[in-house]
Amino acid sequence: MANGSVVRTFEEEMGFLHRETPTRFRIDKGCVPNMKVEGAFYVNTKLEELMFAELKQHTTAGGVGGFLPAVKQIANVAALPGIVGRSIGLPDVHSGYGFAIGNVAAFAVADTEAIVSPGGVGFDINCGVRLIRTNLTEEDVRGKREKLTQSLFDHIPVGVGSKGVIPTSAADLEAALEMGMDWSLREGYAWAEDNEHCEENGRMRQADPTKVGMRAKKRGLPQLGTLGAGNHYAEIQVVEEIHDPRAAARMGIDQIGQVCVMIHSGSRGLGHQVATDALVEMERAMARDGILTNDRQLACARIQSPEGQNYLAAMAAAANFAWVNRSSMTFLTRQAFAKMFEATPDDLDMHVIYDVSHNIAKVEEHMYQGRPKTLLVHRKGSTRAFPPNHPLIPVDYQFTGQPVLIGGTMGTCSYVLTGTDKGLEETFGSTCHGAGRAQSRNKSRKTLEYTEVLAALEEKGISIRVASPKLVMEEAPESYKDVTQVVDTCHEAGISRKAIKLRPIAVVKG
Amino acid sequence: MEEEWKPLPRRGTKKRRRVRPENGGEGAPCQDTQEGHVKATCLGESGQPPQKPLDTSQMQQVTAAVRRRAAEHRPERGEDMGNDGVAGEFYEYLDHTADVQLHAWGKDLTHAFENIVPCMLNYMTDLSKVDVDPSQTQTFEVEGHDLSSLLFAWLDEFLFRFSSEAFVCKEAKILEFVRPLENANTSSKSTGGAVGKLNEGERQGKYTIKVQAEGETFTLTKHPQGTEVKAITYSAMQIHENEGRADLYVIIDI
Repeated sequence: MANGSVVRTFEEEMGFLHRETPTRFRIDKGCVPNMKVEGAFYVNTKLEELMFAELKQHTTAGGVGGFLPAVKQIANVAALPGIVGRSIGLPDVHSGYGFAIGNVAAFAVADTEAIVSPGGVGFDINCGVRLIRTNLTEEDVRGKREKLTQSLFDHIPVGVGSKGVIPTSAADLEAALEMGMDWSLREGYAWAEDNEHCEENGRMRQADPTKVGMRAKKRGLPQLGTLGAGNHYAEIQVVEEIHDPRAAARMGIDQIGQVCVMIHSGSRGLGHQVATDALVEMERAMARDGILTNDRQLACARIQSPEGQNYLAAMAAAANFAWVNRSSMTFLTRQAFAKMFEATPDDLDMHVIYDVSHNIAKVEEHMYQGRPKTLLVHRKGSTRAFPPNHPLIPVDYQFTGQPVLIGGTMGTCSYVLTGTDKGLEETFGSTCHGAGRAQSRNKSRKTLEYTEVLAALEEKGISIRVASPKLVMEEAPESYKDVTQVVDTCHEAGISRKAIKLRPIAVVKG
Repeated sequence: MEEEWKPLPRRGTKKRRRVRPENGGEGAPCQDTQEGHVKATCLGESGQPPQKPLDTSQMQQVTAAVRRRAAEHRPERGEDMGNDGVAGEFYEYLDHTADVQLHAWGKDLTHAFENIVPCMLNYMTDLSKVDVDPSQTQTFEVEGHDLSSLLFAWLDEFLFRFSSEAFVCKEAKILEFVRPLENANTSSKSTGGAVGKLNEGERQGKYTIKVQAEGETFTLTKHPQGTEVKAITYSAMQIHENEGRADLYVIIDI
């Protein structure tokens, strides 16, 4: 079980990869030991270069070195007990902790051997994206852009060490963990319609706040209603292209230039600590139950074990925290806009179009080998994308399919896609989540100039407020894969359909 | 069902009015009978919690907090941190695609452990702007079942104290470094990300560190914001202990 890597040449490694369709590769069993199922990943010609470059770097390093390439990580996930279907890599896949980021894997809940892995969810539990529409157009915002950006920056607490502005007591936190967005609704920070347009209606019912450790709660309390740092952001965007007018109309998007607000954030310190605590606990469970994995980072526990159940209950509570967090920031965004345009948020039609989570594990019914089967689907850096007529998507989107929100990077475009039947069949109803990193943070900082990045944004007509300037380089578009390539690959592969393209005009970041 | 769709959208029309109180908080009455809204607005009967209006004191608190933020913290474009996450005297930052690898060293393990604390915190703020406030000095203990888990718990504790109490540690002074039953093999030791590789000596007891942490409370007016650290990982964690020098490598998730 030593790391699962026999040293092979790049050509030998490539022997395990086969092109199945123009946008999909299969990873054969044998790529790493003990593979229970095959792996697969979606790339187009541009993105496959990045994938193979990473693999090549790994082989030339002779198996030693910093991290496993995404291909190997997808294969290692395919070797986990109880996995069904395939271990799937999406076009934005890149190397992560244990699971690759952009990796989907489903485990049969009824199988006593099947596992749940915190590494398959990620540290930022229920990190996700929310899109809020307005009835303003770019014309209405012109001349007010800088002021509006500053106002948004003043309203939403961003960056390291910032504290939430919404008054929250320890008892409030307990309630929020249990109730999710129902708490926001009860306290008056959310609208009833918000819950409708949110995965799980903004509340995972299996959440159990008592399974969330004291340390996690202490980290979470001051951070409720804060954006965070890193790749998290709040952006004011305008509609640039409408690819699917019918779907767009259902979302309340009816014209080019319509202004929207996108919020990308997660469960903050609370979620990070829940994941950290679970990893420590699962190390013990693995030794006890004799679970073998190819990679030590794939710490996991059987779904039906106490550790597995505890993690799922705590993860659900952290997910609820993330939804409350995004709802609180939605509230603040509405306030900022209301003050700026001297109209109520309702008059500005500031409804939530949808809210997706891209770091989560959920129990779902899927057709597997012609029969319905209850699966625990891990989506890490991957968005759920259910097709039209699926019972779990809101009434408003029954005819169009679930809206899938793909956040770009600072200064690049974002997309709204919709789910498809093909996606449900091939990827357990999942698609990409964003651009995916292509360059290390240190390298970005060394090669890019702070002023250059800002000048480039200025040129594109994007206002920016950022708490930490070094983040400007780290998060520059050059550090990421091209989001358009990623989205086009998903569209071409048919696992989701393009509906709307959005262009940022203002960015607020940690 | 395709014919149900009409090109005229029911939403997004300018200045559509619907009754809702000023603060935008309260549930709207069920008067908008267009499809999709009926279910959403008729709460209370559907078992969802009834909404309470946002009371004025709540609103005032939020407004006051926003004003405070606006007054305290308005960098034009973000002020330059001065520190670029580059090496300190006893630490440096190494490349990793999505995350950052910390590398700290010292003449022995105790010093290396002491040095990796500012290494992590300097990534989150600029430590040269942090002073030591003696009244805030904290003394606490951290434990682990082997060296890797000790290092993990060690950094996790400082991260926890930063994000829960906003305590920035400028200097960690190790008072006691207890290792159970020191094994004879004191040459190089790498755990390579593995927690489970215990030798006989380590299995018999716990590793503990007692530390005196000096620093002060993080305030936005005084300290620049760096990058947020989400979690410590075991990924490619390395602990090398040699005669006269010890090296630590830790990948942090950011």
